[in-house]
Amino acid sequence: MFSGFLLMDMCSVLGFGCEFRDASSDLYRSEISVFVLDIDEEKMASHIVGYPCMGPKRELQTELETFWSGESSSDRLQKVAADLRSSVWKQMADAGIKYIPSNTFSYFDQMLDTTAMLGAVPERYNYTGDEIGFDIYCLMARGNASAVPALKSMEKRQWFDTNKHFSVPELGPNTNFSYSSHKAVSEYKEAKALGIETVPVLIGPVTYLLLSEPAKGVEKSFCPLSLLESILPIYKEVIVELKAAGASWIQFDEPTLVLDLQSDKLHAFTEAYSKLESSLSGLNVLVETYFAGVPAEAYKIVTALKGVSGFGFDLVRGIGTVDLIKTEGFPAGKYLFAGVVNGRNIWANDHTFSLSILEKLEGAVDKDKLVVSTSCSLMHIAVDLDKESKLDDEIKSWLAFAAQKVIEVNALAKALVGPKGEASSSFPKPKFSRNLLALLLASSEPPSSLEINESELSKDLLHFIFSKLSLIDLLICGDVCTRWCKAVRLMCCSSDIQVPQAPPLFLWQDKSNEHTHYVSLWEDQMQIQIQKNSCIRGTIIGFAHGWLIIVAKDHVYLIDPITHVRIDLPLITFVDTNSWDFRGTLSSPSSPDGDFTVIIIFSSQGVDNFLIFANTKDEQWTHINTKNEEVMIYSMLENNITTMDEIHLFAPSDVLPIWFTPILRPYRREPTVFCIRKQDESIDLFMVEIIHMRHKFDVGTRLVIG
Amino acid sequence: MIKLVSGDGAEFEVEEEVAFQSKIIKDIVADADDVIPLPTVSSKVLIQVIEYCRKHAAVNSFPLSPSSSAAAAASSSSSISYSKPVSDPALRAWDNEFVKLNNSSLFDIVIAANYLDIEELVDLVLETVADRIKGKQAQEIRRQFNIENDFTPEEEEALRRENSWAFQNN
Repeated sequence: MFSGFLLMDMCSVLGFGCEFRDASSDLYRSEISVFVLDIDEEKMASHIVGYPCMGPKRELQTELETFWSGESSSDRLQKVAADLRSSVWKQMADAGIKYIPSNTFSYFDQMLDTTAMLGAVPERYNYTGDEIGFDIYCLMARGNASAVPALKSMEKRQWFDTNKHFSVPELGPNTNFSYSSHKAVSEYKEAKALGIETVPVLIGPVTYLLLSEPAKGVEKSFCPLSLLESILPIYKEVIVELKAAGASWIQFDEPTLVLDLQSDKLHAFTEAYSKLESSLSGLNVLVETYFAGVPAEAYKIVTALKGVSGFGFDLVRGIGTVDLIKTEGFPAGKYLFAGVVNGRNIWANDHTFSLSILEKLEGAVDKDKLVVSTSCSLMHIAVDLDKESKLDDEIKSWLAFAAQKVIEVNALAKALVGPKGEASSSFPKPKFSRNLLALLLASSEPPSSLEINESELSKDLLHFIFSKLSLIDLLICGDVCTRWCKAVRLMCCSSDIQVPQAPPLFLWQDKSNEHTHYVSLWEDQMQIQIQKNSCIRGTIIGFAHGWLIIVAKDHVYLIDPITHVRIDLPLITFVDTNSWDFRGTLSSPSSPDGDFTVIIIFSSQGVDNFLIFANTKDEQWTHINTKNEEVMIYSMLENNITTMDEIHLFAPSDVLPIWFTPILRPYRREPTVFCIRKQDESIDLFMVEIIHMRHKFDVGTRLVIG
Repeated sequence: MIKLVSGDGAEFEVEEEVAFQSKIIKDIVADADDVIPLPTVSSKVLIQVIEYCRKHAAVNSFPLSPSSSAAAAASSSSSISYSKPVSDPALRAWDNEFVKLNNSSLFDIVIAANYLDIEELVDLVLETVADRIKGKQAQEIRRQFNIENDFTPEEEEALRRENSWAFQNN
């Protein structure tokens, strides 16, 4: 609850008005778009590892679900998919990204796409060769076990430490590989038809095999890596076809390189790329790693790979790779795709920090070979911040979803080639904010001096501080300045906030009956005198916790004499209030929506006393009649109201819990009602004591045992 | 160990249980890197916050049973907070020493603590501020917090009229 209301809006009260916030976040955005315009002239060295394919409004997911439920055709699904792909490519092209990925779109996962490409369809799906259609593809992804029990989907496993899953390839020594899905090539052509040059992305052959499992019926000791020779020809076919289609770059994702691989597995990389080298000639090849830094051993292997012209490293999680690049060196003439923009979180990038990394790399890598990239595929994060209409602009300015990350990558690339010194200053200075959520999400804020002006305390902070004050202190605070005055009034009038606990008051009406006096013993003799107030009609029958209990004919209500907040209670319909003396009290500090009980004791000469009580939520009073011998009310009430402090209620234990539970609740830290078992009573009696109201809450409380 | 980086670039290595006094850090660390940039927290403030967290991490490592904290609630204390009270008297004394700072430092801390979602610390500081308000007249409060009296004479008069009650110090 606490962080809730502080979170509401700290910054606006701390001096950041709404106008300022809006204006500044517009500024932030518009400066970003200035970059974009500049960049159109010449594409900066910027690269995106991969992009979410779900669509900004999860269009693909929706469409997949209607397709599975049989409500729409696969044509429609493929149309939606194609539209999504083209919008993503256009968006990246418009942002000025030089190396735009293709074939990162997938209905399920890229590992499954690779399985399809290699034709490595498990036997149970009765695949007969040829191009893999949507039917077989879906069968591998989802199975059809409800119709045919044997047709289970392929096993799913977590994609590294992300929340994505992939279909685990099921391989064996007899698995037949054939080039069975031309998706990579067709998507490359699809983008090309839109006038966008892309980098086709394939899961690298070694990673594919390392993530595979022996198929059912194959010996557990079978090592899928032994199939490297068998799958490389398929890769070669794909490469040749991509080359023929006009591709100049190709990206192999080999994220397994970040794992601690044994040397035989590492050598598989060397072997694989040596064998592909001849096919790869004439192409630029990027080997991309992500999710962590590359171990030193793997770094040596990967940078020595043949036929490869660029290496992508995750420099967010794998910041240590920067040192490796500096100490181990980076092969001359090769491209470094520096993943400095975090692809795993939705925080806006810290450009200054990213630039400092990029500048560190400049010594080790040819400047024209340094490419700004994301630390991994953006598929793990939300798509587009601009589609989030519910988020506050302030918060938005601290976030970056996939679409925003693309812009960030490009802005960094631009800054990198810009004149030195200007680079960092050309970024809009993030503004200082104290908004909890924004700060929580922000990682890019430069140090700001904290110039807190005490008088500009947040109203929520004020509220919280004020709620710790007594009524008198609170009223004095209202006189301090206009801001505090407003805050105090807000607290007093608002029904949704807790009225601060008022001190117990001692009250009397003077003889003329024109003034009512309050003395708060808590406040050290502080005395408040109020004129008989127009809002108080009727007889004051008691007071507690700052509330007066008023009876006016059959009406009973509570009123706060200072704030005039009024709480109505059930009507008294059962007696003529004129012929009884009565005194009342409250069980606990109350607020209009608080949970508390009001007790009123009726007494009259020669007639049995009785007691009624009601909770705020009750619609009528509950009676305890003293005629009934089960319950005895002993009251020391005199005409003098000050004797209210000693009311003793006795009730048999079997009755008590039912009737008095609302009163007995030890409310907060100062229980106002105690329940005591009397040791010497033969009949099992509990005593309920309403404490001395004139006591200070903390120190003066004493138990009066009847 | 978790590395916290203050706004001015200073790095602080702290144990998990210390950093986890902040609910936000606890949430972040579950799925992010172990280096946590705290761009809005200056190193001066961060040092104080870490000091607080270190102390409280050491004490809080033995979670109180509900009954003992209830007992503690009943037996303490001079303030009227509704929040969970600090039950250990030694820790309470330590807290009281900790907040013997000028107002400006306290506000820096409360902003940082709020940002980091360290509820107990926010509570402690705000309570301290409230204590500095208690029992003072408006003029004294203005002096204490360096607040300008921005009421116009008319407004002051209106306030007086509106509050038909009057204070009388006997």
